[in-house]
Amino acid sequence: MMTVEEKLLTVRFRTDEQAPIRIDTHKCADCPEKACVSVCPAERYRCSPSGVEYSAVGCLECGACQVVCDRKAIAWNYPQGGLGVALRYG
Amino acid sequence: MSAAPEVVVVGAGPAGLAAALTLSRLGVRVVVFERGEYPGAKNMFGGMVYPRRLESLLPGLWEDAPWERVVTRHRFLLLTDDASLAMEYRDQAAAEPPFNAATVLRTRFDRYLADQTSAAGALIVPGTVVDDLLWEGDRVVGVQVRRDQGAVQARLVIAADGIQSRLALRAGLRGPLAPQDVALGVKELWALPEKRIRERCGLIGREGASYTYLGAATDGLPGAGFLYTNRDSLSFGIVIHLAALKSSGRTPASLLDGLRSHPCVRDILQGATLLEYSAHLVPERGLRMMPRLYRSGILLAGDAGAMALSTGLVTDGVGPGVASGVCAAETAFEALGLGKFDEQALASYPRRLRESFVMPELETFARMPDLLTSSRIYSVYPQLLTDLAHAIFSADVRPRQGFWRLARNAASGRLSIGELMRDLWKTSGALR
Repeated sequence: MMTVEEKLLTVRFRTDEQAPIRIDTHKCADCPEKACVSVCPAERYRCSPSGVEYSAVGCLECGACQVVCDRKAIAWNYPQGGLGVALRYG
Repeated sequence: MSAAPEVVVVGAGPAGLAAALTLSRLGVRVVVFERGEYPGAKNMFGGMVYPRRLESLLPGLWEDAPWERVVTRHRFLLLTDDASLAMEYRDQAAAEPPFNAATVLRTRFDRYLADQTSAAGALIVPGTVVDDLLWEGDRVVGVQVRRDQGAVQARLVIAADGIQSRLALRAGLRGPLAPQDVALGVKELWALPEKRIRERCGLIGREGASYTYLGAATDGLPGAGFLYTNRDSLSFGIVIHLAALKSSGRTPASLLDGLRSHPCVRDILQGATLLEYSAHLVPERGLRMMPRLYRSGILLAGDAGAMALSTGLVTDGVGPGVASGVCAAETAFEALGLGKFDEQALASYPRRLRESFVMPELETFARMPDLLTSSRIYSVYPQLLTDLAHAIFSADVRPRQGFWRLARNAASGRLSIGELMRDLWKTSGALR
């Protein structure tokens, strides 16, 4: 089986230096569910002692993390114009 | 651009481009802002469009559009961990124009739409994020583009900025999306030589097949697996209701791995090479999640207005997207003629949608989304029906039993008569 990391190598990204996601870790430190970690198809989230850690590189821009976050701790915004994921096939 | 645009369209997907193409043909100055590097850069879907729904906008599409394969075989499979029960609708007559369904890859298809739209005179500006709306009192009078001096005035804004529509939120037309409103689609595109695809899927020439997998395909979660044949690639993936995915704690990757290793899928994908991995949200609750579609100076089209259909057996987002874009454009053209852009002037938009196929079919299937999230279709029934098939098709030295005895045995301990009656009642209510 390919790992998600390996699958992401097939995707064309033009990385935005300004991460499109900001997390308010004060809100998620004691979140029991941390649904962002499991639903993210790019597996960009990891549990950490302070809440969750996030890596913007490889974000597929689906927006699922923000929708499942009950605590409204995730602020997702569009990357700069022309940056982020650039699908070759779609 | 020499003159200011009369209409600003946000989003170069099927809905936005259909709106811009229609307006350009009517002689309206229109500009389309797209945040992706090119139209289609952010767009993906399972894989199939219904071209007859697009023909009036794109009369030459039978010859011109970048079709991958013309779909003549529609297969539905109920899966358990190691068995499957299949149903197929096959129509060889559907192979010739005007064919019913075809697979496409979205970057190619959206670029085709964009080329037609540019040729008709619209200005498409990719690589440009629209962050906000411009207001005059309670009327939208343009958009704020993410760049210096990015205020762009317009008489009307058509927001076709997708399921996550920032502009629908900014306009106060809807609140944030809830997990029960949407599904998460995750897709892998696999390269495989044409010859192999034809052999494995039983296809001739440019014919194609679509596969829908239910049951163990999603490990019993509400949703489905899919596989569409392209010319020399396969679009494979899952669509899972986000609320159910969330509460299950499962990862999309584990569900994909499970389905990919099922014999039904494994045999088709054997030896293929991954070309691309992508994910997107899909509007799932139809009318139940539909925002207000307009207010003074702004109209919503396509996924931004939740105009996508999911009937249980078929899904279509591109068809309603394009049709709603055309309705929005016709409404905008009428408003420009009147010189009025208030709510009263735009009230013909929902009327146009009702006169098209968009609203009538959303109304017909309004109760399907709730049925599709709440029932035993994904867990109990696939297991029960494949067990029944097993019993019917198996033999040993014991005498065969009658159908109803086998059916009762398959159901015993899994499904009570009461539950069955309730499901039939709910299903017949949802199927109008």
